[in-house]
Amino acid sequence: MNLKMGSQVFHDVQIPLLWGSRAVLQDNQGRLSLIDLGGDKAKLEIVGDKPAPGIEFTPVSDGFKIFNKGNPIYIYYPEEKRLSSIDLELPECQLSEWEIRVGSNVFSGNVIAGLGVGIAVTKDGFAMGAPLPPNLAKLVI
Amino acid sequence: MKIILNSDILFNTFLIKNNLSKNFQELFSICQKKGHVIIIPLTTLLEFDRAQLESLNTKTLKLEKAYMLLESLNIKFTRVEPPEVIKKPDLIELVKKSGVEVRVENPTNDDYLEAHKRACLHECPHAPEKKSDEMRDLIIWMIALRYAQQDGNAILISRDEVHVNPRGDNEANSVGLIRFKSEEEVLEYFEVETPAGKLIKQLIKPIWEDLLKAGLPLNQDVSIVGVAQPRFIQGTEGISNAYCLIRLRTFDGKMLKTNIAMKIDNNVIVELELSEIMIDENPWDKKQLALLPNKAISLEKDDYKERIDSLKELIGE
Repeated sequence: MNLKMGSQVFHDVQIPLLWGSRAVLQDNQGRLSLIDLGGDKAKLEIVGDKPAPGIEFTPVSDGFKIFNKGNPIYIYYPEEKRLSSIDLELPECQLSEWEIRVGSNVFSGNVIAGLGVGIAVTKDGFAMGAPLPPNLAKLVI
Repeated sequence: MKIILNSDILFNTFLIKNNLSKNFQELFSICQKKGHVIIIPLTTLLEFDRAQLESLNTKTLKLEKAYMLLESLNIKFTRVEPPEVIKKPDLIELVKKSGVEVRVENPTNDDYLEAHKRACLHECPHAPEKKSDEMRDLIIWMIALRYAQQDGNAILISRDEVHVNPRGDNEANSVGLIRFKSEEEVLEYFEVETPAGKLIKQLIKPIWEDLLKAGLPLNQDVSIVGVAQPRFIQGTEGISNAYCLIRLRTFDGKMLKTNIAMKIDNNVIVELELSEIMIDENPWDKKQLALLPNKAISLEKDDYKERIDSLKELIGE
């Protein structure tokens, strides 16, 4: 996959930004989509800044909360392009035109090429350029 | 009532400039009107300050780097010292902005001793199998219990496992400690209209007539008192399902409480199910109702096809 997201250039990467087990993608209109790859099959959770079909959610001020089996797991704020974990134990992620912010760390103007994952965010930290973690579902929709 | 805040619900990994989130501003404003007091345990304050200081240092570094870049390119600029423009927010001042009374609560010696004992002995609400002996959470738990016991009730807003797990149910119930995982849940509890509650109301209005026809003893005019636990499921043409616990006013001023489940097809409410119908805490004549209202709702038209096509293009499918 080749794309520009949050001022980073991702060239020939399979997943540009992996937030826990969720692939984060930004379309050409700047809208974010989230695909959970933690199960057997890829599961769309957010499509273009809105909850995906079949997903349990509830609107909150300036965004919406995503649930999994009745439990709130994270909040997405479309205007701010910000993902905030509730039950995933992950640092907050925010995309803007000029940077990708993961917790208090900022990525700006990098080129990431030829890797499984461009930026991998886990509960213990993050890595820039990482192999594809094992047991992830294929990124297909 | 005292409302105790844990650090996790206030946690931000970015530097707060002028205000806390809209939800918090609304919550504090409601608390001010109702005469509730916000309690910030010292632990919460210290953890908030630590996270904000980290963000402040990151931002300061970024500004210094920007200055260095400008200098290296011989671009003229007026240097403003970082502390003049990047400031650490004062949590207490941010809360006070709404006019609500706020107090920083230092743990007492008894709070420390009891938290210490529970941490060491892995007593409730501490998880028996947990390796980490999380004192901070237990101290906040002790403060919340203390206030609830003293006043007859209190609210603890926290998502921390120690605070929300069922191991703490008996102790919380015995002193009237009510626990919520988010500020939105507290707003619902205070019957303040949240975005989710507003959406539920939009769905209820078109089917009010159907509820009356089914024999529910409701006001002729739409009379929704409160909405709790709202949940929605998205479909390809908009919302496909909606659920909530709702409280409605009856024609004789009583309170009707029921669970509602709706099935929506292409912006038409096709199925409606009410269960556990109670009037003033007594079961109504029928335990449940199933209706087929077939009523159109006016929600924003969904652009799912365009969005999914855009995503497919991105992935290369």
